[in-house]
Amino acid sequence: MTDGSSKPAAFGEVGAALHKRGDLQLITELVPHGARVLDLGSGDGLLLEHLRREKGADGRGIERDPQAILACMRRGIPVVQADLDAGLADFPDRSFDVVIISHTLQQVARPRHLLLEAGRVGRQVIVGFPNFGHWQIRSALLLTGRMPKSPMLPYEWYDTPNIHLLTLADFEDFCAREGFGILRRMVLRYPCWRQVRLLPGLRAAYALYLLDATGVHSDHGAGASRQEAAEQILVVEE
Amino acid sequence: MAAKPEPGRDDRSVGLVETQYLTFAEPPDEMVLTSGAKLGPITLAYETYGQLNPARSNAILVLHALSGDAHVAGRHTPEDRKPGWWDEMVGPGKALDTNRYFVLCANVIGGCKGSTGPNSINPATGKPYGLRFPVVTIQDMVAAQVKLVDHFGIDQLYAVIGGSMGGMQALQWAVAYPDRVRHCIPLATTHRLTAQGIAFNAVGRQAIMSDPGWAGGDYYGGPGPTRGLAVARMVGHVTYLSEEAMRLKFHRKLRPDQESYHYAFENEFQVETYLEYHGKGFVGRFDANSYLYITKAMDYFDLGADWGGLGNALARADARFLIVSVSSDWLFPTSRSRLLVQHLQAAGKDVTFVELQSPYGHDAFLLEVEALTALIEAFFAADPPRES
Repeated sequence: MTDGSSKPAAFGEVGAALHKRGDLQLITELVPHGARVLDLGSGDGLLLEHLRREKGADGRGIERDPQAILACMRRGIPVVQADLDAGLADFPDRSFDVVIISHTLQQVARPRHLLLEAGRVGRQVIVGFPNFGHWQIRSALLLTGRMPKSPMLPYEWYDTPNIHLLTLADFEDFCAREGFGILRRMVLRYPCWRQVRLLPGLRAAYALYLLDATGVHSDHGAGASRQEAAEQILVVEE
Repeated sequence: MAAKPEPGRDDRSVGLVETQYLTFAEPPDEMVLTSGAKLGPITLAYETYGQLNPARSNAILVLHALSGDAHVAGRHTPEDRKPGWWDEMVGPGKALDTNRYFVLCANVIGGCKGSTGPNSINPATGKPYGLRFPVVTIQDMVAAQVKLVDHFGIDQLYAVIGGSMGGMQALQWAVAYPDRVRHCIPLATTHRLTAQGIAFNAVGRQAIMSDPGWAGGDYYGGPGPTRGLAVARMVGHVTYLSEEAMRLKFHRKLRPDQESYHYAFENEFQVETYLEYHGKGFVGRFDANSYLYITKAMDYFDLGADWGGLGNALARADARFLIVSVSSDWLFPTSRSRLLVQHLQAAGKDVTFVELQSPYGHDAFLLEVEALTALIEAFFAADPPRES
């Protein structure tokens, strides 16, 4: 169990704080002025505060961690304590212009369900995730035969919060299958956050997508979860 | 709960306080109640702590629960054994910081702690009202509080806050008087009781009314339904605790002077003596008829009913909401608070929701001082009272 401390500290909490901030400006570029924004896994509310200041956005957060919720509240960001694995039952259809899933998708139990929920609640969805297809990750697995680690994915296999790793190709297949339109894609290196033009699938450490959710197939999980939400209210009510 | 410092040595206490009284609705200008009945004159017993600022923008109205009163903080005399019921939350440097806010609380109408209720003298007869006191609702309680807020010349309350029945009043304030509430903090509450909640209240009322001492409510001058009221309180007390809290506190322990079962029917288990103690203690400080009236007001409360549904009701509100539920509260469970959150979200309102992780059950809103303080301070920090 002492191995639990072998997490590379340089990329641990400090790294997480840095990369949280690194893509702030890039996400901000994707959000229209005055938008209603829901941030899934809003952390301390830094992104939503930034969007409010830069874009006049009306931002809401969903967060699980009590300390992060307090930080959100001090910034005046309304935040609902919830577990993203339980879905977005508190939020009606199309109640937000933009739903943001940043640094979170690979950590939830049901990423497909969460994306479809985001697509139900928002007109657009911004998704950011680490690219597991990065050449260093591919080569590390090939050469060492062990689960790769990278500055963005620094954890051991047994204590990583990142339980659903994916590549750009995986994500784009998913979008095509589920009816998400890709409006914009930013493929980024880390930690400089510069965009990659050549060989993005190999060279990107992180990717940000702006998705059009208005064409998401409603007969999938999202529709079902809406039904679940309605039933939940009914059960509670009478 | 931690031992409290000596009153004279506690610099975070509001110190000595005095209950004050406001009387209004003198005949022929009685208040028309929800039921259509008229009530007047009405007296409200209230206490205040801290100073109202020149802009009158820093007032926080605390709304008490079923058995509460206006005495929120401090002591009435230096000899008082216990301070007010939410002393740990109200005072200099506390969550409701009396260096910054003007905190006020009034006993509800129908109560028995100085506000007009069934034990008040009926001006028509010169005797206590008893059951001739009209049935009052949460709406009526709040309408009476509006008169108190008017009395202080306060156009908009900085915040309304309360747990349980106090939370019902906080919701009623935010919906019925949207321009007069800037922050609304309903704790461990609901927009209406479920059948289960009504059921427990009904058992409490039956315990009182089936006690021969109740005498149809006309027991003033005598001992009254002491046994019935004690049993009502015991039932209520069980609903305020979680299974876990009771298990941790009592397990199956027998009373200290008992080592084995007596195979008899006196109180043997510690949980029994505990309930008995609290039931009897309650009789000394609460009026049985008030218990009937106030539980009935809770049963009738249905926030959505006056406005064509809960969604429409909450859409009226302008306040910023901080809604807090308690993980182990089965009387006012988290699902009830989430329903409020869902409707507030649907209406695009500014709502923050937190489920407190606590083993204490419904009572946690009185006990989880540290967690609640952090939440309230963070909530207020982003939107302090206006100076002018």
